[in-house]
Parts: sequence; structure tokens; C-alpha cells
Amino acid sequence: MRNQLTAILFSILLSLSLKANSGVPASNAPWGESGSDSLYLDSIARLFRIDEIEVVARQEKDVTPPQRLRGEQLHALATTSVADAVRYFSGIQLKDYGGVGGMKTVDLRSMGSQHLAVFYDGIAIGNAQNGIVDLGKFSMDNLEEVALYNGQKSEIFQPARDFGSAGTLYLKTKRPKFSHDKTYNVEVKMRGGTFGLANPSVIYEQRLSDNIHISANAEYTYATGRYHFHYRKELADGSVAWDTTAVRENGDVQAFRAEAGLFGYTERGKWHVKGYYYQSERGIPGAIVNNVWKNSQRQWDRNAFVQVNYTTSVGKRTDLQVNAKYANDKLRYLNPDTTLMYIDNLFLQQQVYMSASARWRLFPFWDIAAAADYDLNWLKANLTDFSNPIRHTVLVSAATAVSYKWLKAQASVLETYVKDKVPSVKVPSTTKNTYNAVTPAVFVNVKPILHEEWFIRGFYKMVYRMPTFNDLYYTDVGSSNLKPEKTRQYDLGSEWSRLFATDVTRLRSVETGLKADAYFNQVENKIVAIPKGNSQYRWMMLNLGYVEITGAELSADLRFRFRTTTRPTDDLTLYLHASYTFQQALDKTNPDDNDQYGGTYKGQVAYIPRHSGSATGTLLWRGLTASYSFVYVGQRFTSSANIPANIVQPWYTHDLAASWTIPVSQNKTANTTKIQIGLEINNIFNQQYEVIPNYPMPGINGKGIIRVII
Amino acid sequence: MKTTYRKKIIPLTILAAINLCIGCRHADVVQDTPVELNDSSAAVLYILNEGNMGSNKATIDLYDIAADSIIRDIYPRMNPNVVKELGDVGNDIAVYGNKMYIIVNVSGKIEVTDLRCRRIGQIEVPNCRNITFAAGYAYVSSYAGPVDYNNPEYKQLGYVAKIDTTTLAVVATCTVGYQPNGVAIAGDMLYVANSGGYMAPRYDSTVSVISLDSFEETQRLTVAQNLESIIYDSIHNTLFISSQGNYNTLPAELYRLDLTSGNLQGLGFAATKMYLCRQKLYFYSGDMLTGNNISYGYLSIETLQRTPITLSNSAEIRMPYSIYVDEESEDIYLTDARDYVTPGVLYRYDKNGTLVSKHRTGDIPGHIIKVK
Repeated sequence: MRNQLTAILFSILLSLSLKANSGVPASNAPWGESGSDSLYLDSIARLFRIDEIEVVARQEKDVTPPQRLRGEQLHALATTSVADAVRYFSGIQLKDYGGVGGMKTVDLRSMGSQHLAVFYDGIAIGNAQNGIVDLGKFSMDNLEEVALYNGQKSEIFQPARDFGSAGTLYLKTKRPKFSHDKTYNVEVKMRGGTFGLANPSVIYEQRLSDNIHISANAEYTYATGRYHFHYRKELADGSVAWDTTAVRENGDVQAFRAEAGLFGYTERGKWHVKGYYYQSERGIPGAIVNNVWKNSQRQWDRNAFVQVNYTTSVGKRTDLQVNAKYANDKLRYLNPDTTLMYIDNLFLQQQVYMSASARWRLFPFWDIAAAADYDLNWLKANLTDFSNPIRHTVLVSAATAVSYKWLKAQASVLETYVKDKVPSVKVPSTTKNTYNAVTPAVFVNVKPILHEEWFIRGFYKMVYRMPTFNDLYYTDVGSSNLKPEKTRQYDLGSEWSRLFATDVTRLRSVETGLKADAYFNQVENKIVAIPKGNSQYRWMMLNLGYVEITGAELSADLRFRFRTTTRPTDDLTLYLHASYTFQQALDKTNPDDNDQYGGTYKGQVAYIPRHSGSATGTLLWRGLTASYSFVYVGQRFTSSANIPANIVQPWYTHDLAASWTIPVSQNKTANTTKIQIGLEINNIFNQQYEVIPNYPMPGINGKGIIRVII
Repeated sequence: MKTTYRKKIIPLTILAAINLCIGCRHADVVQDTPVELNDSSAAVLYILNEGNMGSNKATIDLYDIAADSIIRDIYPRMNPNVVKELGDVGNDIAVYGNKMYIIVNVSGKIEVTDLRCRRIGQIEVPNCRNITFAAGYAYVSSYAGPVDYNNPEYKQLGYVAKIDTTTLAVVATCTVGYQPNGVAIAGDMLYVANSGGYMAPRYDSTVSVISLDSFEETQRLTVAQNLESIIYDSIHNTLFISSQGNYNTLPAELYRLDLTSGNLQGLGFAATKMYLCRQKLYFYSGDMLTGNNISYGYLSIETLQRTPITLSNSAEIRMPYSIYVDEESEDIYLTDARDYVTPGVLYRYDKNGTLVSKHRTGDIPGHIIKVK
């Protein structure tokens, strides 16, 4: 008891100091929050233990804060997959092939999908085969936070892998939280809607002891994936040239996901063990082209992994962290259409990953850290003459962080060593199968005025993207003498936030936040695919291309709190967020290729809009949540030849979501059973659009949700 | 309190600004108004651009030889009401009588138009590749032949479809080798170059010989791996057959098959694409993966002597993709697919290889025919 009291006192003090430190306005403002804050607040809420607070409390405000969606805000938005959620981030371009089962990948600041690393509960999701993570496969069901960092997470105490990408997206699943003396939580959810969607899920959390919690989660998704789409073309005089409506076929999906996690807390640290299993079968709807309205290709996925994290402090100045993961992925691709090339390919991919990192606090204002990772990937396939490559990757990083009143800075250096082994050799002797590179990153954040939450920050980061197994070894496609893609990022930004407490009767407070960033990126030796020979069913990879990206991002947040009664918990909160992204991604590969009839030099790179943005409004009042969101993607081109024939029309969608949580039983121990009813309507104006040409997107669609929380 | 309202204005302005941008979406409009093509216009070239698979960007450009001008993508202009335009991956184009036949591979059809590109109809042939004609019939090679599911060595044979050019109906089919490409008529026989491309690296290496009378395969001649195109020289009753090698250890080579003697001769050089004009077999070859070491020339079909052609702008050409020579002027036309994802280029040379003009085309310009 005494212990607990001390802990509470300590935590309050700490939270105050943290707030003062980080400039986070009171309440959980969604901007400017540090990653460590959330960890830290979690832990206070959970146990009120001093020891673990010690471990995490010293983490301070990010040098470059992420874009983050979490908690109520995340769940208020009408989202099915992680891909839907990241649309709201600035600098992100979503490539969506449409429908529930369609592939969804993202591109950060025009550098290419493979430059964005995705981390699931702290450990990178690997895909040595093609380097792309399909975000459509990650459910929002048990996610508590999605955070996007340009460059890297501004945290030096992390695995070396975390320093190794041009951008990083962190997906964090729910950690069990138990109110008062509750020992378990149960949540059952059923979602259903258009596209024949049926999506039940269940979450079970149990407090095994004060120090060990368990969480288990299972989800099943079924959808026919059928929807109507509409194509229409007009003549110059406005009359209809042609107009057709059809049903999207072969977009069905069936997926099962199960996860279980053990969360442990020790005197000086914490540990987390996680198991993940995902299995799916889906149709690949394919391109709608003249005379082809239906495709029949199918794909089966099976992904499983186990991962462990252990973090502890050793002595007063040292923190240690180890991570390990084993992943086993299977993919089967089938083209049963015998009028085309019959394909029944099976790919088996395995990964063993180990990492150790340490941080030392030299002085209260100065930390240093080091990490070493070893990553082993191997790929087997039933392709003829497939070389079954094995890749050893060793990553070593050293980093330092300074935090002094108005200054926060971080510098890191990463050594990447990659060695590929190709057991069944059919590779020419010129093969370069080792890569070695040292890449630096520097982040600085300055607070010019002591009492103003105004920050100026900047970073420089250089990083390589290794060619993937597909790039190198895909039979008859891979080109074994590829160089890694090199990216360099320069960023300068500023942000400001303030909390205004007002005296107006109704309005309790207003919080504002503004953020602006300008950046310049260079991508060298861009790996591109070109057809091989005179037929288009064989491709090969080449290092071809140099891209320069100049961009700007602006975002603004406003949060109003209105009194409805005297109790703060009855406040009505209105949260508004808007972001705008400007990107000029210029293909500077061939200076000679510069005529106006189809030249590519200084052309905007394929699928990158010059202008894009989003706006969301969320209303929270007692158990009621309502949100409106708008996403805008401006005109794009299908290639860097920016001619009228290559224009892709802008698209924008308006989505609405509302939910109502009703307590159904209440007793004094606060074991409340709640029912939540929700409704989402997406693309309310039924816009017919395409993100990728010939992959029509669904028009208006909706779903209903019932959730029971026990 | 004033500050509060002021702060409110900022995001509202942003929202308003974004909402203003929304007006930017236009209806998809067919490019320009239909072209007025006079039926008595001067001779033109049609360039069939393949377009990348899945892009639905098979297009036809019209090149006016006398005016030295190009009109791009004329198909939708001439046929604005055709849903999803010409289609996906144009693979061959030919004229027979007063009709033009456009093979659209992924769309699985042969588009039939008049000589001014006005649509007459279409013939369904899945995975169609190349076309040739004889005695009122069109012969189209296709990869989509019968499949033997019981065969553990799962393989897909190709076939040739026989099409009545009057009714535009497929009247018969004949199974051939694996993944047939080039087709050529020699006398009353049809020769089909089988590639086996789907089975890479175990390519087919045969030519199927089909009797036009019975429309049955009478013979399978072994030539070399991965056959691509086939051209008949009626003067010497020989076939020129190009093998593309295996893109690895086995180099590409051009073969000459004497149909009178049955003698097969490797000519010791490669022809990636070729065109026969006035007893000269024009060709280019080189490393088609990188676009390096490309050479151009012609082979005298009389003496079998090779003569190199030096193109005056050869450094500028990135990825030659087809060659055509004008019967009348002997002007040489070469298309450049560039990087395959951006518009290509049509180069026109005089017979000595001096550049006359160049024009942008659609994506992956791959096939040229002349129409008067």
C-alpha cells in the first residue's frame, strides 16, 4: 500500500515534469506526443509500479515527432485495415488495388514502397522476397496505435534494424489494461456490410498475476468482394462516348488471424512474447481491360511468427534490450486460366532475427546507445531453376542523443552487411552477392522560446535499400548484379502547439497544433522492372533511375472541449485535423529525354500526386462518437512522361462513421459490460475512381459493427 | 476569447482551400474530336503500340509519310464509342483486302477495322499472337491451346485459328507446338514458329508445318530454341526463322530453311526483328536486355551477304523494338521502346541510315504496316 502511494506520487510528479518537458498539452492531445509517453502512461494506469517507470521514464520527447493515430481517434475513423488509417498521414501515398482483398501498399515521400519498414509490436515485418508489406492484411481490430516516422523513430534505444529504412511505420497492438480488481477483459465484435463482409473477432485478456498478463485475439474475415463499378467517357462536347457498369469479380477473401501475447513486468524491466498466425485465401481481381471483365488468379497466404522482447535496466545508467523473432511465411499463387500462362507457384520464406541493444546514460543530458542485429532469411520456391537464396544480414548501429533545455539532438550510424548465398547456382560469375554500407543520420530539434511550445527541427538521413530476392533471383527475372537503391533525405520542419483555457461558459479549452515540414529527397540507382525479350511475360530488373523529390507537408489540429455538465467527463470534444502534402517527385534519369511529346526528364514520377490532403472531424461525447473524414489525391500520371494520355484523374472520398457505447450493467467494482453499436459509410458521394488505372475502386459502401465489452 | 476564434479560422481556411481543390476532377474525355481521314488520303503508316500488360494502352498511331507528321492514338478518335478502347497489349497488325486486323493479346481478340481504323468487328481468340493470310482466310497463332491436366509435366500447347475473313468467324483450329509466335504461308503450307516461352528455360525448338488443305499439322521441324519470327522468301522458296536463344548461355541466331532441299542453315548472326523488302532482309540485333551493342544491317537474300547499316543517331536509340522498310522509297523506319513504360519513338531514315525525322509514339511501339 505504501509502495503504491509512493508510486502514484512519483508518477504524478513524473508526468508533470514530462509534460513540462515535452510541451504536451494536458489531456491526450494527438500531436506532439512522445512514444515513450504512451508506454509510460500505460504503465501508470496499469500497476503504479516505480521500477518499471524508471525504465521508461527517462525517454523524452521525440526529436522528430511521428504522425500518430491512436485510441478513440483511431477507432472513430471508418477504417478496415491499416492501409485505410495511414491515408490520413501526410507524405503517404496509398496504392490500393481495390476491395477488401485487394493489395494495399504505401509509399512515403515518393521514395517507393520498399523504403518504408513496417514494425509490428516493435519488430520489423520482413519480406525478403519482395520487400513490400501489404497493409491490407493488417487488421485494425486489435491495434491501439499507428505511428509513422520520417527517417527513423527518434529513440536511440532500439534495434539496429530500426535505423535501417527511409521511413518507419509502427503498428502497436493493445496491451491488456485492467481496471481496479478486474482480472479479465473480454471483447466480442461482429462487423458486417457491403462486399458480403462478415468479420467476427474476439479478444480475451487475463491477469495471470500482478506481473504477468495474457492477451489472446482471433479474427475471421469473409467477403465476396463484389461491388459495382462504373466507367464512363465523354466526348469533348460533353456527350457520352461510352458508359458501362459491371461487377468486380474474383475479389473474394477469406482470412483467419490469431494472436496471443504474454506481457510480463519484472522489478527492473518488462518482457513480451507474441505469437501470430494468419491464413488467407483470396482472388486477385486483376486489371479491367478491353474484353476482359473478370480474372481468375488466386493467392493463398500463411504467415506465422513468434517474437520476444525483453527490456531491463542494469544499474542506474544502463538499459538493455533483446529482441528475437522467427517467422515462417508461405505464399501460393495460382493462375488457373489455361488460356494464359498456367502458374502454380509456391514460395516458402523463413526468417530468424536476433537483436541486442544497450543504452548508457553518460550524463543526465547525454545518452549513447549501440545495437547489433543478425537477420537470416531464406526463400524456397517451386519455380524451375529457382536458386533458393539465403541472405545473412548483420546490422550494427551506434547512436547518441543529447537533451539540453532548448536542444534535443540525435545522431546515429548504421553499418549494413549483407551476404547472399545461392545454393543451386545458376547465377553468372559476375554476381555480386555481398553488400556493405555505412549510413548516417542526424536529427536536431530546437526550442527557441522557453515558454512557447514551438520547435524547429531538421534531419538528414542516408540509407540503402538492398535488392530483394525477387529483384535478384526470381528465375528469369532477377538480375544478379543489381546495386542497392540509395536514398538521401533532408528535412526541415517546425511545429507549434498551445492549450488555451477559456472563461467562456461552454467552452472549457481549445488546443491548437500546427506543423510544417519541407524536405528534399534523392533516390539513386532506383530498381525498375523492364520486359525481357519481345514478349511481355518475362521481366528483368535494372538499376535505372534517379529521382529528386521536393516536398512540403502542413498539418493543423484543433481540439475544443465544451462543458455540458460540471463534470469534465461529460465534456463534448470536437477534434479537427487537416493535412496537406505537396510533392514534386521528378524523374531526372535521362536529361536527353526531354521533349514535350513524351519525354520523361523532370517529369513527375508515376502515381505521385503533386497535391494531396486529408481532413477529419471527430466528435466525442459520453458514449457517442462521430467522425467525418475526407481524403484528396490530386491528379497523377501513370508514367514520368507527363502527357495527357497518362493522366489519372484526382480522387477524393468522404467517409462517415458513428458509434454509440451503452453500458448495460454496472456494479460498484466497475466491472461494466458495455455494448457498442457502430455504423460506417464510406465514399458517401459514390465517387467512381481508380487509384491504379484499370483497378476500379468501390463506390458507396458501408458496414455495421456490434461490439460487446465485458 | 478572441484568440480562440482566430485559431478557429486557420483550419477552417485550410478546409475551405482543400474544398476548392475538389473542383479539379474532370470527366474522362476522349482525346480531341475524331480525325477526318479522307479515304483517298496519301499513304500512311500505322504503328501499333503494345502498351504494358494491364495498362489497356494498346494504341495505334498514324504516320503520314508525305507530310512527315504523326497523329497519336487514333483508335478512340475513330471509334469513340468503343468501351475501353483498343485493349491490352497489341501484338500484331496486318492488312488483308480492305480490312485491317489488330491482334490484341491480353484482350484476347482480333480487332477488325477498315483501312481508316473504323471498327468493323472483333474475333475472339484468347492469347493471340501473330497473323497471316491466304485465300480468304486469316491464320492466327495463339498460346491458348488444349491442356493435358493428367500430364505431370504440365504443358500448354498452342494452336492456330483459321478465320474466314468475310464472316470473321473462327472456322477451324489446329494444335501446334508450345507458345507459337510467327506464322508464314509458303505455297499451300503454313509454318508456325514455336517458342516454348512459358516453359523457360526449356524452350520449344520446332516449327509446326500445317497443310492448308486439311488444316492439320503434317510435320514438326526442329530448328533452334525459342523461335520468334518467320518470314517467307518466295523467290528462293526459303524461310528465315529467328531463334532468340535462351537469354543466357545460348545466343540468338537467324536460320534459313530451304524448303526445296529441306536444308537448314544457321546464318551465324542474330536477328531480333526482321523485315523483308526488295530482296533485302533488314534486321537488328544485340543485347536486348541492356540495349547495348545493337547492330543494324541487311542480308541479301540472293548472296546471303550481310551489309551493316550505320544509323546516324544510333547513340540515341535505347531499345529498338521493330524495323520496317518502305517498298517505294526504301526509307527505313525503326521504333524505340525506350524504357517500356514511357512513350516510344519512331525514327525515319533514308536508305543510307541518315535520320530524316523522329516522332513520339505510344508506349512500346512494336509493329508497323503501310496502308494506301
